[in-house]
Amino acid sequence: MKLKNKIIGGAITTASALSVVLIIAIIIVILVVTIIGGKEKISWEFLTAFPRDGMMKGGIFPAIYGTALLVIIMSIAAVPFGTITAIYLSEYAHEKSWLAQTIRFAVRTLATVPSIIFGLFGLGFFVQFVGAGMDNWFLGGQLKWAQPNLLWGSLTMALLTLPVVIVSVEEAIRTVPRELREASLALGATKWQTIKKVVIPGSISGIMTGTILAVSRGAGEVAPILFTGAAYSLATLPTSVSDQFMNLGYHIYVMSTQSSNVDQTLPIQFATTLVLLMLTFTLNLAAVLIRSSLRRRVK
Amino acid sequence: MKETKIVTRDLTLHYGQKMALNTINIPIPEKEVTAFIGPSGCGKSTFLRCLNRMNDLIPSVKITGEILIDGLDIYRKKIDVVNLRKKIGMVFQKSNPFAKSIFENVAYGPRINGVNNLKALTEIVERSLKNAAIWDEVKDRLHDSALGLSGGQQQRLCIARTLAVEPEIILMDEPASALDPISTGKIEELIFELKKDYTIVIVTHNMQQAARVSDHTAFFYLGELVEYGKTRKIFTTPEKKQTEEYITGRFG
Amino acid sequence: MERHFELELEKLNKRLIQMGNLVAEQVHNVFDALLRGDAELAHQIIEKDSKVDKLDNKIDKLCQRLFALTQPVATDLRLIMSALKINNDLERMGDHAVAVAQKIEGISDYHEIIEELHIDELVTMTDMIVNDVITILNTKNVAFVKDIFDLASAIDEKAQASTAMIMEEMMHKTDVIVVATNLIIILTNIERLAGYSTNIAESIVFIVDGRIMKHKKKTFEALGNSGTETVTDAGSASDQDKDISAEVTPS
Repeated sequence: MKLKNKIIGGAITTASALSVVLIIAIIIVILVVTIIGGKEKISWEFLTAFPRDGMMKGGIFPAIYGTALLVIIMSIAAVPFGTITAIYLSEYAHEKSWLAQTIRFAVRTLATVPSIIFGLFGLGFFVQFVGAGMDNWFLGGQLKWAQPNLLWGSLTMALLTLPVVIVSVEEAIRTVPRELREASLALGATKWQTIKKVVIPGSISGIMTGTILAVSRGAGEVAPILFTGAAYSLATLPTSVSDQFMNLGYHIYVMSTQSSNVDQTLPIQFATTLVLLMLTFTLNLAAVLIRSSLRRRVK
Repeated sequence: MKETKIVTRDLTLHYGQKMALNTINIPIPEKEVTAFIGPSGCGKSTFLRCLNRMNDLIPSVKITGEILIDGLDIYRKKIDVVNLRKKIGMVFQKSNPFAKSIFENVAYGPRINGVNNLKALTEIVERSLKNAAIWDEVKDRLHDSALGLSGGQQQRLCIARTLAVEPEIILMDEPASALDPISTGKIEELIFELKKDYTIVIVTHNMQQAARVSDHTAFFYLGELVEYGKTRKIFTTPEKKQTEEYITGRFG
Repeated sequence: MERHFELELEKLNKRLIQMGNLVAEQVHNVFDALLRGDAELAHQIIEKDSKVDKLDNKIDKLCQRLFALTQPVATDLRLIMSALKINNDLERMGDHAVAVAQKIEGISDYHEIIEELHIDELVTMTDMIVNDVITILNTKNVAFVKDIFDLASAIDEKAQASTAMIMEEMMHKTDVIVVATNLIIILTNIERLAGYSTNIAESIVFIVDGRIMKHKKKTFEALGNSGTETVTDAGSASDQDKDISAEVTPS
């Protein structure tokens, strides 16, 4: 009996160790392939210059810039809205109320929708409906908003990441113990004062986590911005939200499938991929560091 | 003869269908210590939480009857519950300091009330910590996290936090049950000091503590008030047999 | 900082000492009245006994409250237990002082007998033993408690001797029978005063050392060495009450 348990225990340990090794191996392989394929192209110029000669020379700076803008505007849209929704769900709504259950259902469903659907939605709703409406109402039919741009792309991406934000913020809020809320209320604080001064500070690390997760996804996803704002080759950087923008993920996609010189641009593709990977990695690292420093301050 | 600060009239409380408090009529004198004793689940904590309307937080609770504080029913229609809770402080069974510094914990109440001037806050914090008999232990580390204090210190910090709001009544729900004997002793001595200025109501499952500390004692059993009287009478010549059996340890 | 119950115990101690002082005063006054034949003073002593009784009640109530409300242990417990006993003994002493006062008028006819029998010596010794024990009650210093027992023995002897002499007189002169009887009663009460004083001394030793003094002889030896004779034997009561009949019976 004891021997059997030992064997099973050993088998599970071995299986776990193997899967860890496998995962790490895959990551290493990806990194190695990417580095080997693209290392010749990585340079300071690559990161800071515009592309030239049909993407064969120069750099990918506009794509980096565009990705950054996208992520920033997306966060501004998603995080506050998601946080407020999470606060409503956990603090104000009755567990069984119709509204709360509807919201939760919507959030759950939204989380499972394929990202391309978001792209189509963004096109139909933001670009063609809201954009056209804005053009008709404010600009007398002139075409400005009824086309793909940074604003619509960011908002579409925000919709994609909203469920992530809501869920992680709500989780964080729930970890704040009930006793702290009671202590605050017993001192004569209103519900909102309690939320502002006790609940939110107490769940700030969760809010940060949710934000960073959303940002990571936003940096990497391509489908939602396919029709809503991303472009392959732009001469200038976007100067307002009504401009189109370049994007790292989109750039890789187009370069590897539709450009005229797929083989020649292969090193550039690898290099761009490497940049995107580094970006995502840095973002996640930042998340971990911020979260642990917040935790340490609280303790 | 002290004035009556709180009096309840036919106070009855239901959790959904279950009756937790049955027609409680009890006076609580001003600036004295009243203790509630009784076995687990007898309703004493529930009753305590009615006094500052903390039971409002539980959705299934239904309350009938009146609770008069200084002659006014606190369950009447237009009452401002937030204001009520400023007048009545509460210390909980397990100490619950905020994850902030010691200073900020005590300053929390005054800040909520609009006091933002640092000098004024510092005065209030020092005064409250002194009145809670913990000033000497923390005066050199006011800006350290409150979570670094020991259990007994945290509880006294929570008392200081309550005092900072200058309530008239202090409710204590088994304040020392999670503490070691020395810390318990400190808290009991503190109660003797505090009762000079505050009306104190304390729930305790430790009868000896009630005997040591209170002026009046109320014995609850299964949601009913069995007996109420001066502590020295309850512990020497109780009137009801049930009371006698409980305090002599025959049951419960 | 003193705990709340410590203040209450101090209150008990103070009250006890107050009671002791009051009774010592009564005893001193009654001896004064006896020696001078002062009926007026005797009357005042009888009146003042009500004060003694009131204080007795107060102390009893305080002890009951302390037991019920403070769960005393160790020295505190011994203090309160002994306080009840000492209180009782003091109150009895008060009664005995009153008993002496009541008989003072009854011997006024034959006052010279007091000098003949050297009653003043007996009275001085008894006054001293009462004062000594009240002093120990105050100081809780039991170093010289042996002296009290020695003094009590001396008082016993002297009282018995005096009683024998009176009985002798009574057999020869029948007209002094009334006075003689009253005097014997006075002597008996004086003996009781000494007896209760030793009781109180024992209670004080119990407070201080936790020793129950069962037999005086053993105690004298134990007091010589610092006794490790700490007692848990609460069952055997120390019976120090002297039997009146045993003393009055002529040997």
